[in-house]
Amino acid sequence: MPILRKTVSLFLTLFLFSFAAFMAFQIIPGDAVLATLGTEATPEQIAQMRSELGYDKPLLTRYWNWISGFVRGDLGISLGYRMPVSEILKDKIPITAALSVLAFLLVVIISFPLGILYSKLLGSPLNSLVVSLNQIMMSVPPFFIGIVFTFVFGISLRLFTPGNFISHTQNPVQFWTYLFFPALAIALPRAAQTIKLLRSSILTEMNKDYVRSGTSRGNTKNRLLYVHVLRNALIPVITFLAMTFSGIVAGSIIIEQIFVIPGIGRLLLLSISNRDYPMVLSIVMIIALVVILMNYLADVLCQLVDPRTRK
Amino acid sequence: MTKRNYNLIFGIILSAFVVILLTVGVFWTPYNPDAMNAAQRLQGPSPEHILGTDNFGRDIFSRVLKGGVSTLWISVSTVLFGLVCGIIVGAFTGYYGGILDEIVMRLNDVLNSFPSILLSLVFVSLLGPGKKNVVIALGLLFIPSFARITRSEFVRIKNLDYVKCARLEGVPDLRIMFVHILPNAVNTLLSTTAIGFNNAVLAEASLSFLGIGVQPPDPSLGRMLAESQTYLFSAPWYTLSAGGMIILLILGFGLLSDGLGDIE
Repeated sequence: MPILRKTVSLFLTLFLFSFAAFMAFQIIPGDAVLATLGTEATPEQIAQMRSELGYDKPLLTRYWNWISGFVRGDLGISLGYRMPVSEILKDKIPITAALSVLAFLLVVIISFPLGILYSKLLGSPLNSLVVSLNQIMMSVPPFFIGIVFTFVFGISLRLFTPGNFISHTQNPVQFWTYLFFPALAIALPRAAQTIKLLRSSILTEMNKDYVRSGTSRGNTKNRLLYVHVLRNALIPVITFLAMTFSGIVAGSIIIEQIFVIPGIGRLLLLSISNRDYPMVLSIVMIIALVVILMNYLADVLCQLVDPRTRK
Repeated sequence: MTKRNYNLIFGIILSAFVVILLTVGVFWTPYNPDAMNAAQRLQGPSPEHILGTDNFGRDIFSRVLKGGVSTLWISVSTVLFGLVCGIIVGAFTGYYGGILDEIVMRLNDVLNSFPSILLSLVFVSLLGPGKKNVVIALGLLFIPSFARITRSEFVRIKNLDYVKCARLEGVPDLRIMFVHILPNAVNTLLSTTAIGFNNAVLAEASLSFLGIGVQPPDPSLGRMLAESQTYLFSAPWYTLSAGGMIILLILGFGLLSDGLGDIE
């Protein structure tokens, strides 16, 4: 039943967020229609565009039209491009999605082995060195790593050409090579955070009674770690990783600027400066959808892994 | 067993170092941070300019100090704003509970799960760029995390015997909340505040990096970093100085937060 409750809460959250986001874009100062048509537009032109965009209907009707359209995949018309928002987003979303998923995979690939390894170092002289390095890595903003990467791997080592993005249809290999460095830039600080959490989570579990009784029954340390401790220690990490994913998506917005990747991050910033609100609203809503779904999945996953939360 | 709290020690040393450096920067910088000098463009670090000069021949060290001051000022105002509002929201919802509590906490969940950089981007796009709007946008976004921590502390403490006694004696609710309960929540709040600084520095730097935070002529670490990208090859010290200052700020507050969390 708790999963059912979570599902109800999921839809409630989605409704609340979409409503709040929609309203926020209705009360903004500055009329989007006037901004598009310019100050010299005639009252007729303004009235026509208003009714074209549905701005003359009551607020709640407009919310309903917008959200029911959103569910069907109709995101409205972009003010800047004068094209359906969904047409423009169709090419951009896969790029940002690829970047985010790659970054997420890198976080997992880097942090799980290292987190486990670091937890074994407790008491050795390497411990404080590793912990300090990890803390420093956590404090480096992804965009700074991104700039350093373009310098080291792009300009100096020529492993990729900064600014020369290659689309997946042109050359899949170069596409993924190009995305690797921005993804790594996003992943490194997040991986460091995950390592820290995983390490402390393992060390906390190691002090529990079941580990002591496991040891007294003659289990080896490794067997205890991989069969018993890790299962419990991963629970907080799973929740954290779900939250990390939303951070990764946000991080990709900034990283796309540095590596000149034509994803939704660049589009979002462009639309913000163009006051293209239907576009901004759609992008925000799509990211919110991903974030909220990820959190929901993490909750469900935690309950599957940990029966104690299933009360 | 006394175990040294190294996180706290290094956190205090590092944060104090940066804050003192920046406090000096408020009143004095080696050069005027806006003074241009065409004869000394993009010079490497030297005894005269310890961090070199930028593309206009301005002293980078002076600009890093001024930019750091601006970042720190924004972070402090943001965190204070979020902290005060968050404590009030958290105190009332935690102490009284009920339907209001439920609604506010659901709203908190939504805001909390959302990347703050993205939301502040949207806020700033609605309000327009500039120092003041960055503070408002980030401050609003920081309310939920402080409210949640305050609330959970209040829920825990309000059922303790001493609070029940106070209530029996007829102490007014407001006095119980802010004189009897709040001081016991300070420890937890301190650590959260340090994380808040951390996030604020990062968020401010990111916004300015994207060009929608602090606007020229105010110096800003994020924008310096963005500008330095062009001169990465000829003047790497430009990037490293601006980035280094951001890292120092985040590292110091991060250690401080961990250290404060380890107390008890």
